[in-house]
Amino acid sequence: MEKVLDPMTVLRRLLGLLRPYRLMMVGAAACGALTVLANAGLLAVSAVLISSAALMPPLFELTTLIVGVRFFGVARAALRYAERYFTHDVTFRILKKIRVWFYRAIEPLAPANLQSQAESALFRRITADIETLQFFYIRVLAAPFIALVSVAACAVFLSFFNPPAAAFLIILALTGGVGIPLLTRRVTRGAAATAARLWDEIYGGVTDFARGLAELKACGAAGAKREAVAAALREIGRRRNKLYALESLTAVLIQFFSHLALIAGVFSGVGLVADGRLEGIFLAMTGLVAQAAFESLQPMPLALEQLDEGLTAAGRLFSLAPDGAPRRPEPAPASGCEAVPAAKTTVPDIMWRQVCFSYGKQETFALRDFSLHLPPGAKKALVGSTGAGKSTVVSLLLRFWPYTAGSITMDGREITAMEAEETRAALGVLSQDPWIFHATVRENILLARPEATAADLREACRLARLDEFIRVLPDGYETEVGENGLKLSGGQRQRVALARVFLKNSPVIILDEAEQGLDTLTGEEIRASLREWAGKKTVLRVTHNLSGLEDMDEIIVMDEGRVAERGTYAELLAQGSYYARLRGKGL
Amino acid sequence: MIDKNLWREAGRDKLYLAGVALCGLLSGITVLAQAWVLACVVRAVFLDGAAPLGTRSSFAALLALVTLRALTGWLEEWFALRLARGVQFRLREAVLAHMEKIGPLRLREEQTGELLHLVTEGLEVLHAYFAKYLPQLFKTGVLPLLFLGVIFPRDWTTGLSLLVTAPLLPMFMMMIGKWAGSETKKRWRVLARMTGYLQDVLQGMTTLKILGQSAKQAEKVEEISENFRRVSLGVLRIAFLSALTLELFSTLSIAIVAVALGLRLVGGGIDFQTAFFLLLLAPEFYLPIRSLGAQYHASLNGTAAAERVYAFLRTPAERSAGGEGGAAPGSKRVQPRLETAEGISVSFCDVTLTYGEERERALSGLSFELRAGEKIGLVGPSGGGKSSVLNLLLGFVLPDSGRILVNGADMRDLDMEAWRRLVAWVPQKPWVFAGSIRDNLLLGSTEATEELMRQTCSELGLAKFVAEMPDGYSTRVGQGGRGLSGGQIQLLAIGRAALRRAPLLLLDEATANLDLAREETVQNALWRLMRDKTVVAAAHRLQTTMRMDRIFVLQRGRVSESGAPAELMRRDGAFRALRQAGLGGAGL
Repeated sequence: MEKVLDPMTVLRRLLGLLRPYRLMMVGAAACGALTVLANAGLLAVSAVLISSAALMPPLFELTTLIVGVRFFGVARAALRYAERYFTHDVTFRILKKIRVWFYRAIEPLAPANLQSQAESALFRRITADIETLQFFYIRVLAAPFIALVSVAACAVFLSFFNPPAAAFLIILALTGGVGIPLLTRRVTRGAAATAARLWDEIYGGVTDFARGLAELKACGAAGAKREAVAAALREIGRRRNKLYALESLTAVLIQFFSHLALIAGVFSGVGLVADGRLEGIFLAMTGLVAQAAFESLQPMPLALEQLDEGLTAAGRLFSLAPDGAPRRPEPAPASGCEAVPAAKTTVPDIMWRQVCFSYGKQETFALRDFSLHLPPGAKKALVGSTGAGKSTVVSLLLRFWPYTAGSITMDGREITAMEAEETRAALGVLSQDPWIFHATVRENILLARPEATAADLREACRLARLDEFIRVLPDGYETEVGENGLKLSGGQRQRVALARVFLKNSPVIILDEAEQGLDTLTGEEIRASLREWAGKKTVLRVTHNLSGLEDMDEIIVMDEGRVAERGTYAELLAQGSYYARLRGKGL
Repeated sequence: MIDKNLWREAGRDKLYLAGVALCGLLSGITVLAQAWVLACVVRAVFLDGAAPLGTRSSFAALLALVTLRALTGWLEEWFALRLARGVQFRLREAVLAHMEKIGPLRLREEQTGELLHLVTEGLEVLHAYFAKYLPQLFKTGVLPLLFLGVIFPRDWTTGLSLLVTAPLLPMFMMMIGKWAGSETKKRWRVLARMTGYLQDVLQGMTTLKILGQSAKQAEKVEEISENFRRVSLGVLRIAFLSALTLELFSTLSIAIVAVALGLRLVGGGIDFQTAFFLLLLAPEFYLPIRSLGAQYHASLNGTAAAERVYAFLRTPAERSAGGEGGAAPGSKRVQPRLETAEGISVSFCDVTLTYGEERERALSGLSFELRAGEKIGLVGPSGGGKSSVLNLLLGFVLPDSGRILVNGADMRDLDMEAWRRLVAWVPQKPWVFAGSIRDNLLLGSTEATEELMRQTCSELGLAKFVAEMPDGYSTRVGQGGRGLSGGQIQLLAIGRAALRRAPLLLLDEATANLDLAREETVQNALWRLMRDKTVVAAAHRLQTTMRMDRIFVLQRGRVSESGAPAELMRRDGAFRALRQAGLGGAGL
């Protein structure tokens, strides 16, 4: 990640996100504290009841105590239920809030800020970070609050009967409930970071094993790789176990301190009873109340651990999706400009003028002084080898990156002054690496125009030569295609993506390597489909494949971010130019 | 109560299991002793007016007891952790081994993201299952009985009320647990789908933007999260009933015991020390059951994860060769016979192939013969059967019927490991492993020396490509070839295949565009690689096809035309149609 935010800023922003739920959070935590106190109450009243009864008073003197015992007994259970329920409700609301917030924050920035990262690791991290944050309230905020309220209430109560017991309780609570977890944290802190790094490595290893299994098997290296992954898993298992052992030691110690509080509560009262400063019937009670308060301290180690984890997770998310990001590539439309994204029906006039662009801090320009005019209905092609800048031309029009210099206009309006959605509404783009969602074939194609009719959908699939394939699928249109369409072949995925373009039916069609993954015949069929369907639409073909460009109005040959030459097919061949040389290679 | 499969796993570490049990029992005994001493002290001070000095020995005894209790508690967890670790290791290894067994074709159908999570952090839930839930389960079974054994002789009425309420608790818990359990299983699936959903949407963000759907998707994220909240709360509302019941039973029983004891004390039916001892024991009596309730989620999560693991372990392998899949057990494995001078000959006799549950046959009655040293090109539309031929030869799948003979031996009978040593493969989309260029080149060629690697690379014309990298052969490359161009990945795969020095080359030519500058290097490297080998190439490029000895046009799973390329060009058949469709282009 780019920069590390300081923990206080992260905490402030995180609390800001949770702010809308503050009442619910306090309510749920209050239920938690009352649950602890109800138990203390139950034990206290029971102890007093038995102690009083031992003195054999008349029965009616005990009735209040008996009612008290029953009251606390029922209250404890009811409060526990309420606490559980409300806490989880808040947690899920927070989860929803964070997900939606993150999506909304990252959406305008993508793909610019998501591209540089190692993809699978990045998305796994994001999902895991959000999962971690859902527990921020329950463990980091609620637990210490409950502990503080419970211990304080019990100490105040004790101080009326046995002040030394109250003092012991506070001291023991501070050492056992705060000191010991802090000590443990010093040891575990570094270990947690190491574990995270190890998990990343292991995840990489397992991904290599699963995704590269074909190669591994073919090379006879599957067994060795599996051994290596298993060894790494064993190693992390050992490390994790050490941590767990330490965690359990902490928990056992806190319990040990609660027993010390019980002993301290009773024995500090011994002298008081002898001096007559404490009534004997309260002796047992002081010990039991002191011990009961400790119930609230058990979750403290987890709170500290989750504080670190939560802040790290939040820090990562915040650095991906900064507040009011200055480098937002989609500035809001200029005031007075009515920018309502609407489906375009007229074919716009698109113009690139002297556009320059470089990715990130790189000094080399990905695009230099690039100019291109796409009048309505034009049929043009961008050709060149990988890295020549073809796809960058399209990305800039799609507003994925802000261009450094020059201008791109649509019907005379600078595209940066329009809503990105409006620009994109006019464009039907087949990108180089279209994502296929883990959903059905129908859902995947309908994404292009959710309101499309079944007939539209069928027509789009026919044009993309997908209809026959769908017919033989087990569930037809309702077949699940797997993660990123992995159940489909390369050609099938490409045709699903093409069907989207046909269905979206935009006035401007941009095809980046349309025939990628398609065999020659299907490629030719699809080219025919396009010719039949495109009609008056503007078409820009981006390709390294030099065939079938004879009927283009203009071919723009790119090399290292510049226009190397341009002209019609015949002109370029006649010139004996770069294009002709490329063709001459017999490709 | 306990998952059968997991219990069987735990049973393999009997020593740790015994340690857990012993410590659990010991901790119960210290609880009893602690309560008894405390009751003595309180009676002595409160009723007998004992002086503070007189309580010293009890004070020391109590300190010793709570220390002992802490020790046994920690030891118990330590044993339990050992148990958990062992089970985790074994299950993870089993999943990895099964992945290998079912092979790449089947694995592609699984949601790998979920599976990878399962084998790594997903199985961490078993830690809670074995280290927390299981010891608690034991204590719940044993400690209440121990306590009752002590309570009954002293006061049978209290004993009776505890005895009556105790079985009701687990009974209610089980009822609610069953109810919640089935709901939780549903939720687990929703959760998995939900996690997958956000990741899917994030990864497909660019596509969503192009389609103008990315902003709208925020509402979908919200809707799905809200739905998840409602589903979860619906389940938890039931699941928490068990918490409520647990709490209610234990607190009410304490209340009943306290009140009953109080009334009997007034009537003189019991002495204070016993009464206080019983009062102290009442919460301890319910504690194991309550703690078990608290670990109930751990048990459900553990069971759900285990079920996913065992479900995966049950996925059948594609019928693959070499006894890796469904081949008859006990059949003899034949070492492939190879007279090096002659190379490898292959013949397909009436081979049919259907993948998994698919309706369409991938191959239907395919027959052809390939002489040693011959180079054949497979061409045809996608889905025509080109990849299937390669999959069969790699032993990733076995035919439904028909035979594949290599050097006269049926592939079904071959030892796959040995067979694959004779095969080099350049896949269409090669996987690049995280590591150095060297690691990637030497994959599976463990005995190859550095010198051999360098020599092979320069022979193929790859040395220049390596020299361009910042650290040469030691340059680290990202998983899946991050940071490498398509052409560079191809070169890497060609180098990898060459280093295997295998007599049979399977080539699945890339259709994706390569950079023009690289194109020539790749082609040249391929020619050099093919030299002196028997070659089966799924060819997409005209140049490649024309250099082959023979061409098979595969359509709908069978050979529709075959012959030398020049001859096929003269004939007015399928090949010519294909070629003309891609006339002058990089197609075919």
